[in-house]
Amino acid sequence: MGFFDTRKFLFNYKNYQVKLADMLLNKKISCFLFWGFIIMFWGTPMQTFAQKTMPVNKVMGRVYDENQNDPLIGVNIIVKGKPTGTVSGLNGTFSVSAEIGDVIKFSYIGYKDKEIKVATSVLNVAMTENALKLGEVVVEAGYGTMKKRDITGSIVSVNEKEIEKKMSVNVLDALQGAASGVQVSNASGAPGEESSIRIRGTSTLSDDGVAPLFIVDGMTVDRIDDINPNDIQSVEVLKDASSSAIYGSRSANGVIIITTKKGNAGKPKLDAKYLRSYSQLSHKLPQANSLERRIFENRIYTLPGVTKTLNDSTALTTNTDNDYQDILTQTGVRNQLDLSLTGGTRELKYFNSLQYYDETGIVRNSWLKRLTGRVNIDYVPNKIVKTATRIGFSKTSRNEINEGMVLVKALLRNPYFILTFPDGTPAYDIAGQKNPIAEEILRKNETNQYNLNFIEEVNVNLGSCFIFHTDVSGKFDLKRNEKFNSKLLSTAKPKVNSGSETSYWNTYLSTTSYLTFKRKFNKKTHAVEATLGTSVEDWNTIFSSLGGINYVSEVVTTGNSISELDPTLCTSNKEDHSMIGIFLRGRYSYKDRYLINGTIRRDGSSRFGANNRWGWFPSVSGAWRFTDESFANEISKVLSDGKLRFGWGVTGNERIGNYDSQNQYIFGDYYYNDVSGVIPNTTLGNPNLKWEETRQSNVGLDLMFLDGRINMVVDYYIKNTKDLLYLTSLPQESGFTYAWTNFGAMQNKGLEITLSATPVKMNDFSWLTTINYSQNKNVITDLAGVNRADDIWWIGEGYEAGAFYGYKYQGIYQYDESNAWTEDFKTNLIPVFQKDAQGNVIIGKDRKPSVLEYLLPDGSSYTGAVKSKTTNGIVCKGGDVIWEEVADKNGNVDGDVNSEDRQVLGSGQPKWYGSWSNTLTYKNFNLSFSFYGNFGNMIYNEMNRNSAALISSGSTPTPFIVYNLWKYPGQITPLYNANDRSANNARTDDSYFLEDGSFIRLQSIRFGYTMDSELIKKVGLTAASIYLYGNGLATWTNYTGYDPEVAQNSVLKPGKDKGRYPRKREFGLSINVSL
Amino acid sequence: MKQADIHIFTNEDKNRICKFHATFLKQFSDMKNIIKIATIIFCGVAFSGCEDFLSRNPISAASPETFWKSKEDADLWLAGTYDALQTTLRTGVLDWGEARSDNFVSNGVGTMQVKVTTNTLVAGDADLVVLTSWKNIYTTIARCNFGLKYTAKMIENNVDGNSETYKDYMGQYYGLRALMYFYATRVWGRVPIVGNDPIESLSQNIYFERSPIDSCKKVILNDLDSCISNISPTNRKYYFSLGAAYALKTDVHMWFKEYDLAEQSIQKLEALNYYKWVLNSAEWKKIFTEPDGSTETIFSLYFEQLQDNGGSGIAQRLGSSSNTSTFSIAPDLFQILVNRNRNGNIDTRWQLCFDTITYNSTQSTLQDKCGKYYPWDDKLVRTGESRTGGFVYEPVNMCNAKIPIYRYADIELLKAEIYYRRGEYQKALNIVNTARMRVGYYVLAKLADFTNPDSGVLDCIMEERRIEFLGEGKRWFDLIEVSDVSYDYFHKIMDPVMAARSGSVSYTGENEGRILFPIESTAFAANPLLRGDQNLPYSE
Repeated sequence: MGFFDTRKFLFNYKNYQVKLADMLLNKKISCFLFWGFIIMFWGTPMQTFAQKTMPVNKVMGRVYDENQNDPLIGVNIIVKGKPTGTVSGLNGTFSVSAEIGDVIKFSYIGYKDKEIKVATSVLNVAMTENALKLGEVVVEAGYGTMKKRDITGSIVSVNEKEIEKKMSVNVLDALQGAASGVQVSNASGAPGEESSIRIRGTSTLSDDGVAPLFIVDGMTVDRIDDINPNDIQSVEVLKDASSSAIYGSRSANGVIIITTKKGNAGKPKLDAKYLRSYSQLSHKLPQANSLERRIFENRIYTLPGVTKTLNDSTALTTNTDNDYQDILTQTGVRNQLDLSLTGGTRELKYFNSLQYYDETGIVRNSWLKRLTGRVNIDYVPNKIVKTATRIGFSKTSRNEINEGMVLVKALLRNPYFILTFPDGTPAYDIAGQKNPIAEEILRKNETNQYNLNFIEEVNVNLGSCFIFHTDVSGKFDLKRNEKFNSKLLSTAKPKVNSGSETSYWNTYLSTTSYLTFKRKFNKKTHAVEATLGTSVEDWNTIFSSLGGINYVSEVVTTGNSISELDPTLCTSNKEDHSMIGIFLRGRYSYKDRYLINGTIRRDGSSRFGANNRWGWFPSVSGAWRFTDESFANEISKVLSDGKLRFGWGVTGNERIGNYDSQNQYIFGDYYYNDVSGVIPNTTLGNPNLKWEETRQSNVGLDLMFLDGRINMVVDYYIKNTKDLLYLTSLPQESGFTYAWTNFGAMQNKGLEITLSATPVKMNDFSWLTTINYSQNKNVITDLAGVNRADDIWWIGEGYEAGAFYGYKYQGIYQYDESNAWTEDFKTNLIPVFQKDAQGNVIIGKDRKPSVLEYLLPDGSSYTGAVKSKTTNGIVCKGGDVIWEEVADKNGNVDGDVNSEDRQVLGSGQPKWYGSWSNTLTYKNFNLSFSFYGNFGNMIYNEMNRNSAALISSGSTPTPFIVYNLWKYPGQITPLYNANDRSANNARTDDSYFLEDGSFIRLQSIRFGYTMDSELIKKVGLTAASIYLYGNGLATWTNYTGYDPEVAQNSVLKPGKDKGRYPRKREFGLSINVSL
Repeated sequence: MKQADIHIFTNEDKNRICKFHATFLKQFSDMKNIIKIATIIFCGVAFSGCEDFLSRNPISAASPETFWKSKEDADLWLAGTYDALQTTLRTGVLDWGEARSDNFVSNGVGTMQVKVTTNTLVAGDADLVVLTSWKNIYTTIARCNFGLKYTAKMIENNVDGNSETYKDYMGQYYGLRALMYFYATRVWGRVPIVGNDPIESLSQNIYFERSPIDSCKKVILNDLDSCISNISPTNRKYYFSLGAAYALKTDVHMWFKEYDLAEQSIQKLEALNYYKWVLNSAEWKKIFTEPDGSTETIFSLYFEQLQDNGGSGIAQRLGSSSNTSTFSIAPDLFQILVNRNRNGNIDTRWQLCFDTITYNSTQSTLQDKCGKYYPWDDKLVRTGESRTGGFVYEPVNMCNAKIPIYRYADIELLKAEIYYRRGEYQKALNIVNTARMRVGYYVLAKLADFTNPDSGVLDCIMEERRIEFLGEGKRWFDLIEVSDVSYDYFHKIMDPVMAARSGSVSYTGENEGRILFPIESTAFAANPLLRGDQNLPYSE
């Protein structure tokens, strides 16, 4: 070791990869091999190419933005015709050797080049932003970067400024509404709740497969909620297949590349931010009070078990009036401290950051504490070698409340039940109704997560055309969950406490290497670039758990306190997974006017059967900059830049269980008479499993008007997925429940428009506005004929994934006699009753009104036979729901409402979604705000159903239901007779509980003031600003639950609002200072 | 920063590096070499070495290749099979065998029990899946099939020299499979017969249609014959035994009205000399609280709450310490017991099953709980009362109650029915009286009391069975078993019951088809061969 032979290395490339694989697999070769490898690079002899000429004169000065007066750091400064040059440092200052009369050229990405003839030894240079040059911005495109201007696929870049404006807790929060085609939904307001993200709809049937692939600084990760948003330089979203196919087998749902900040050369710069916010329940639901509960009892007393309760002084447990939502919630407080230190020399730059985040939720006893740190080091010893180190760590602690037991139960509990007995013990179980406050406080569900990830990368410049990149990355994730339920929460006699602790230990190791060839020919008219590389990845998961009952002490809630272990909870297991990928990419452009990009990847995954392990993922894309053609000259004043893009590619999905292709015998939970049995896994192995394949075509148009004042990006795509990875239900007779199969096909079509403009741009005032619009239409095109209903959803050919399915509610029969239909059961007849002189219906001695005749809806008299409808064979009565019957093939209905009368009722996925964000700047003030909205989807309001179904005698419905349940013949009301359950009126799959889920939200608003730099300097700071902000301040919707933003992470079962942790309205203040 | 600060190479190294760089760059100017290198990298990585890296086998699970190597493996599979049986019968025993009968009325506030007791079962109702799905039955059958296939191989290879044990296990698999098919046949009528080969690959036939009743019967009896010829004759309670095989065989023959064959089975069972009537009330109680030691137990299903995910479903269905139960005992049945305990008589089954401190009325009382499976504790403190004593109920998810599948009284009272069928009424009544006397009820049934012995004796046997097996999942099947093809006895009992229950559907006309259970909807979605073959009048 010691000597580095590049040639040998390259020729032994194969061996190298195999060795890596070997190491990862067998762990025979120690990690030192890798570190040694890295050190070799670091130790490569330094070569300083800069020629040293003695300065004749020294020119010093500062470079800044002409509009904002902000210093520009890292501006390239070259003295023309001389080998001298420098880069502007912190505060934009520079010093360069030049003589009077020399021409100094300043160039900076996104700004127009500026040349200045040296006249004095002090130069203050104002640079002008160049919208066209913004295209020079480099974006991550996977295994390398490309200029934004050269993009041929559909890539959106979100930069740090946009992320910062939202004051968000995590990256996904910040991405909501930030780009078209990217749908982020946060299902609850719980501290630390993970959002779900979808790019261009859902192209698979399994819930695990819909998330995009996340790449952080070149490393694949599963979750990004432990990344500090303030550490992020940029986020690139690779939406179409031609962009993402380079990531092959896991890119069918798009790729999100996150790049963290790099250090800037210069003196150490310390940034400190402190943020504090207060939040409250954003929307309180109506809930019955004691009086309303008693009204309910008086009216509904025939319901089994519902009895009138005493409310005098002798009634110990039933003599209060609780507002549960008030008691359960509190003002949430968020405290956040951010520190970052950056600096360095030209050779070595560093960025260090530390964040402490502390949030108490709006529901008591829910909280999140997180410490995040990052060390990013870039080392460029010479022109040949460039190394980068990225290390991130985080520790997260979180306590979650049991939403089902706290919120859902609280909304149903009798308002007059007491919460504590006079002796102070909680009144936990009164008539089967649990105490939500005791649940909230006494149930512990605490998770501690430790996360460490690192990536070491080395780039070697092998001459002018070749760059070789290699990296090793790893991620270690330890998650430990502790649950404990106090005795006070037990209904057993005698009372028992119970609990469990579970640990997950995930490790990931990977190595990626690629060789890039880059060259321009023929006076730079032809540009060629090619990349060839491989990646090897290895995952390991260890799970262990311990649980039982009768803890020796309630103070000690670790496993040693358990006196009676529960054998089914005492278990551990281990899994692994590996992948290898080889990829090749070629790019060619002619005069930047015609661009072609092609990639091919071959991927192998351990998850699939031996015969189908490998898959090919090709893509091709191109772009035509038509504004460079001569015919466009005439309009160039208006249309500054125009590019037409097209792309096609194949991407894959491999997200199934690690061993789903194999038959397994499992054990641990299958005891009989003290013997722990072995059983076949309920999922039958399928050795023929292979990749799910998505073919996506994309056409896009980039337009820039008026020198960048208006920008527009339009994309249209069609995504066809075949061989869907689907957990097929096997016939129950087989003894197995499921098998993973490649099955059916699905299509997504969509349109995305992003329009951004600067309508006002004056010296002191500017307004920047951006509108994102995305629509997506999803349809299951082939399901091999096995259409079926799953709970309240329909899975069927020709329908979108996640369509609501059930009985269509059409009203309530007013009288028993209202159940009168024409002979074909298609027209509901209107009974005409005998009435007295005052117009009141006369009720006879048989307690029934007498019907004089039946009318057709048009008012004409009906003379034919009158038929009554039944539900499941039982004749419908007054107070029963009128369900719509579905006609059979011949257009007939049979008069009996049964499971064949269910129909598709609406869509769980939004038809379109969009955002509108604005930034206004006036002198030192700035204001940004954004709106976000979803349209065209339905939400199943399960809380409302729980309330209306009166599942338990103790459950208390909402005031609306109390007042509107059908109580007497003739009542016109939307709700059924709760006393008679024979017609199953409170069925779950009732369209009555489906509501329009469209909403518009004022997502975030921030008002900031940046202190005058001169003033700040006097107190020793370089910058200071202060922000007031609000999140989730207002929502416009017709939905009656807590919040219309419900989880979209279930593909086939979206849009069910189970009563999750409610949303909050947040106000905050943030102070940022730089030293 | 100076070079020397970090330079770790010798000067010689440095020279070699520089020299190398020069040659390297020269080489790369040659495009041919690039292509060559590219090809080597691309093909090399793609086709060698990687396959090993990508073959990953389950770490924490066994596979068909690594299992079936020792006697322990055979033991573990047997336990796994009984685990499936537990899942099938934990509430299935009552849901299929009793819930719809006149023994139970709906209790609590759920909708499932209302639908069950009003005869308004629906195929696609999530609340009713537990009754309408045969999934668990077929899961148990599949495990038996695995066990049969591989245990036979182990016998072939004489693994660990334990062939006798394996033979016994095979006997148990045959027996359990027969029991499962018998349940399925009684609940749904015609059911699919899935054959002997376990499903191990999607390339096998996984779709089966419903077979005629005759084929189902044949499979059950064949399995029982195989069981009897393989199973060890040990007297054991928590595992399927030779006695259980004869008991089941009796039950099957009775169901198909083959009384002579049934009697032969009973004789074989009696010849084992393992089973006897219990002697007194205390022993009777132990059939349920300690079945292991009871002479009446033939086969009881073991449950332990910590091992078995909350244990058996007795607490949930009949009474628990933590919740209201789904069903309570029909007032008329309770009244029969009350009446038997009047005028100086006692039938201790009343006190042993019900809290007679609270429910001691002569009126028909709606019982909220049945304590048959729980011991009585005299010292138990009653909330808000000065009196003490009560059943030690267990919470719903912590129920250790062991469920009797077959016991001696069951077989003997079936024998009484055989005597009745032959007109040997007194012999039939003698058995009934034996059952009565052991629980302290000395009011004996005498033939002279029946003006019409032809119906009276049957009623007498049926009433005794109704009381004796209350909460054991027998009544519903009994009502069908004693009926003729027109379901005469069933209608006699159930029609008035249904007429009295509001919102219920009678078993008359096309609704007579409702005596069978509906087949759960998802079964049709997953198996096209079932489509169009739902039990009428249910819809798919």
